[in-house]
Amino acid sequence: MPSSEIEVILPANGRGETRNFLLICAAIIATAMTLLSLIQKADGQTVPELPTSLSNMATQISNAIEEITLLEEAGMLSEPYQLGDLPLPALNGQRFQQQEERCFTLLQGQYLFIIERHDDTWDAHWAVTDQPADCHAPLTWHSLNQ
Amino acid sequence: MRYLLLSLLVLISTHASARLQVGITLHPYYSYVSHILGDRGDVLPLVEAGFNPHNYQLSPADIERLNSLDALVVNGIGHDLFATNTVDRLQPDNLTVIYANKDVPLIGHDEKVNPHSFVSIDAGIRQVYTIAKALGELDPDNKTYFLKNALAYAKTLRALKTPVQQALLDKDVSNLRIASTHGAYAYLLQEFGLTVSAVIEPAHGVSPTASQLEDTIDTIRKQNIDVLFTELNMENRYVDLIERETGIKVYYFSHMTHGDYSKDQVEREMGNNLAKLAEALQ
Repeated sequence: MPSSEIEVILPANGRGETRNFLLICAAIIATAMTLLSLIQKADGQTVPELPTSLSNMATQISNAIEEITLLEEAGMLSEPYQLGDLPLPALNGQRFQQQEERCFTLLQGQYLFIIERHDDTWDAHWAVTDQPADCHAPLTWHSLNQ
Repeated sequence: MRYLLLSLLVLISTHASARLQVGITLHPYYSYVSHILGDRGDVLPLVEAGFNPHNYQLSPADIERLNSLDALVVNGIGHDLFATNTVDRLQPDNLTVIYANKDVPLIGHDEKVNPHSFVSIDAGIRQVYTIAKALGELDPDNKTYFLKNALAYAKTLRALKTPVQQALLDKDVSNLRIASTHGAYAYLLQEFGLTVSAVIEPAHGVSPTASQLEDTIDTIRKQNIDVLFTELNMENRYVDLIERETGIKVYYFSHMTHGDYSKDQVEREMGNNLAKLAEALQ
């Protein structure tokens, strides 16, 4: 009688627990690998950098922007802008080209530098491309110190 | 009469206190800021001459000086951590920190940015303009004066390039192999299309070990390196050994962070650096 009320639990052989444990481990590893691949993918999409060999060119352009602004403030430069009036640097004999009245470009290998006049400021950017383009081209533009 | 004299004294003291008090952390910034401010402000080194910027810790007297400044011009990319770390921590009231390299296209990235942009003409000019604009915002009455001074100083600095540009005329330097004791000259050499093939010191001011030195000598021989640029004012005994072992030509450049602070230090020492560079290119 009392013995009929006792629930007999068979000893577990551990297979179920082991399976569950392995399944959880596999899930953790799979999640970790997915996250790592996402991080690596994000790294691959990081902003491209200007090559070191062009950082001095970028510096000279940045300096030119300041000088053009100062010349304009001093009344020594005004619209319509002419390429020859702007103190723009050259690299390896290559010079800036005037695309429009307010847009100047220089293609150096796979890198395009632009200088443009906005409503009240001068600005410069670079983009990765091996094709000549103007300041409004649908490219990803970067600041000179990026 | 007494009131007149008193008024005059008050006027003079007001005028004196209105002058911008601009602190600097490194020698080149003393030259830059002195030229920009002209006679309309005072340049105050944060630390007295003779310190090593790589391991200095600000003293209470330095911090006291920090609190009396209107602005502090910093390199801000790793060469004056002794100051920027403290400023970040204390955030003194009424102090404007001017990050001179804010607009400079830097060499390297993240923690490996090369902080020696002051050993350069173009990157130096870029910093002069950034500082002048920031000081002009602090003192709008003198903005035009500061910018005009910056422009004139840029012209002076650019003229220093002439000897090297002449040395490079009709000269092919694409085969010239250069080594340097540390990365301080990357900005300067790049201005003339030159790149460093080997950097010898494991870290700035740290002499290579015997095995590193052996590797360096081996590299110089294998890569046929022609010239070695090393630092003036630093004890580099191992450089003599490299010179003896390899027969390489050694030229000494100034890092411009030694000696007394002076307005003409950058012109003088960069002039010497560029004369040496022109000589190396002959």
